[in-house]
Amino acid sequence: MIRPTSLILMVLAAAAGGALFQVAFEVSALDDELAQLNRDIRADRDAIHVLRAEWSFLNQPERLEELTRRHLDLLPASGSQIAGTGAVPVMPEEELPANGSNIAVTPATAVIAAPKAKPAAPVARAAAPRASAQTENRADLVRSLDDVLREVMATPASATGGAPR
Amino acid sequence: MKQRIAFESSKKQAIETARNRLLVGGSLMAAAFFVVGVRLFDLAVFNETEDLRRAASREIARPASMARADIVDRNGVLLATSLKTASLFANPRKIGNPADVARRLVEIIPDMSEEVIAARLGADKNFVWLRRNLTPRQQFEVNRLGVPGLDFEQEERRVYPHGRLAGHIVGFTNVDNVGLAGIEKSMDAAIAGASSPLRLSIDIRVQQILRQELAGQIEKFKAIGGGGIVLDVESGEVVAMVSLPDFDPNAAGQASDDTRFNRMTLGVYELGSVFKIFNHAIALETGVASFQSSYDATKPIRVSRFTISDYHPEKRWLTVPEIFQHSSNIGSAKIALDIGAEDQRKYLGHLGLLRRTSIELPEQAQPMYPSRWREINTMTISFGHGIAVSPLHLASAVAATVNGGILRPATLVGGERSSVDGVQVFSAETSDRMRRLLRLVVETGTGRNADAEGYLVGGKTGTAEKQVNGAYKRNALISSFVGVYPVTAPRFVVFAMLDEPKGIKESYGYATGGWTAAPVVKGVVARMAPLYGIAPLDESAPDIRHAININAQPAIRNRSDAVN
Repeated sequence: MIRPTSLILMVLAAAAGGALFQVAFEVSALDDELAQLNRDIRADRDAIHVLRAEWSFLNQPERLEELTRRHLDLLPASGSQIAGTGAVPVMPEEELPANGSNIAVTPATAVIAAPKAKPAAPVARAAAPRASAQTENRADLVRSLDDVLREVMATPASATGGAPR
Repeated sequence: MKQRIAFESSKKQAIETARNRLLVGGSLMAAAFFVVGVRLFDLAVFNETEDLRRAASREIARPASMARADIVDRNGVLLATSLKTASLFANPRKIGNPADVARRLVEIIPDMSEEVIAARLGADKNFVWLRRNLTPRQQFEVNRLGVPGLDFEQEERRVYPHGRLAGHIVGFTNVDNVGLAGIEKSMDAAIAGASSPLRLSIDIRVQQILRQELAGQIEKFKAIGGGGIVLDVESGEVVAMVSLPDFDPNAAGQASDDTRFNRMTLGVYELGSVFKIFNHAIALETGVASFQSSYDATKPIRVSRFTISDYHPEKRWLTVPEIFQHSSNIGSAKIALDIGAEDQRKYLGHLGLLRRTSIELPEQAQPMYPSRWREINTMTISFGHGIAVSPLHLASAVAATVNGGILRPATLVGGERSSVDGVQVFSAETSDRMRRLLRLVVETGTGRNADAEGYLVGGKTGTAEKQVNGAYKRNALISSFVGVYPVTAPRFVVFAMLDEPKGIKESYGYATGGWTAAPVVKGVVARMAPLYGIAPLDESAPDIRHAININAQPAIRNRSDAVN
């Protein structure tokens, strides 16, 4: 003796109830997830904090100097190696390489960043190229090392990734 | 049939009643549900404040907040930070067998004695500290013992990643994170409350360069110690400050008093000839002497029981620049007599040499100078005897002498200091002349060992005998050099000092400032200039010659034209 309206209302009520519970459970699950995320964030932040201390420790100038001496072919630039653009003689036209790329002269202020592993000034490098098996790649290799060092030195505070849990 | 009708009728009546009752009950229920529904809707849709309150009370990840803020150098390199550690404590009333627990704890923490632990565990208390700041491994091992009554407290420990390199500046804290020395002490309140790091003016790279150069010379000349300062002449910021021997603030408790002593701020020394910088500047400023004036330095001055003589006697009349160049004590004393005690004292006071510096360090000293400023004092003070100041005093005053004459208080805190107002002590003209004199010393005088090629170093040597129990000790020297560079437009003052260097073969037995301290300044200048984008200059270029030229002629000839 159930009328269609009642039936519809009952179904709706049941659906509403079900939906309510569904939402409630979802909220609860999200709450848990949020709490977990917060715990993770805190753990990561603590880890970053520790890593920053370690990063600073590993970047002790004395240690970097020793590592540079051992692994890199670089020496601190002396005053006589640094010259401004004005000091570079103009290269005769016919000696220019086809792409003209290696006449880029860095102003003296370009050797600011890396503290210990000061790259030899590009001018000096061009003046006295060292014998090497890969002469063509040499300039590129040295430059990329410079870049890496400069980036590393410029951002000492950004220790990221690999946080131990 | 009739009965049925009656039945029908009474039944209908009952149904009617029941329906009415149902209607009333149903309406009541509907009304109640309506109220609940409205409230539910209200709660769900309109009750924003409640939602916000709940959202706010829900834990939101905050930055790791430590009890003390980090300390960083001028480039953001971490110098001091706090790390979380676990500290072990016990409730002795809960410990059943103190001796047994002590024996097992000693295996984990071998540097504690078993008796001490047993005694603490046997105490009639609710709380005893056993060990602060365990390593994570030790914490794990103690946990594994599973002894009830032992517990951990999360604590923070100050860590100094660069160790001894900035020990005297950063200082250290005690185990309760209260600053005991250095910046940690002087800015304790600011560090303890802040969430953002405290930025110092120190550059750890320059600090390392200075320390390394100093350590090399100290070893070479068998000195008992030394120190150095690099000061920005415009802002008064201390870019580097080293005092050797130094200590590791991570283990400050084990450091001896000698290593914890900051020679640069807490030590006061009679610094000798470097004071002639101020003597000459005062003379030029007050107009008692010019570059053309000359003084008789043929023989030593005798005043009562004192004799003032020259270290490298020229035994002739010297012009004012020559007195500076050859570091003549006789000439300086005679200039000082012309200046007079009153002006000398006034200007030294203006230079901040008679009061404490404003540096943010608790380790500071009051300069020592005669209470009665007699004639003999005026004479000896002209060449840096009879007045004792800290090296930081000197560096600060030299910066004021060469930067256009403006004294700006020295500081260790980096940041927006470049615009700070200073006190005009000397005129720009006097400052310009002093720069020429300082360059003269490095080009042709006693400071040639400081000449870093291309960087136009100017400076003055100083060699003073140390006073021990009121008497000067002949072979115990304080040898120093104060340099400025580039001398045409100074950026930095670099000071170096060695405590009791001994002469060696290479220096022909000399242990003077020119032999011991000047090379430190040269090394620091050559290595730090590229870091600060200071390009080397061609020293023979006409405009530079013009800027450092001194029209100093031998004393006999008398030129009337002004300097340059």
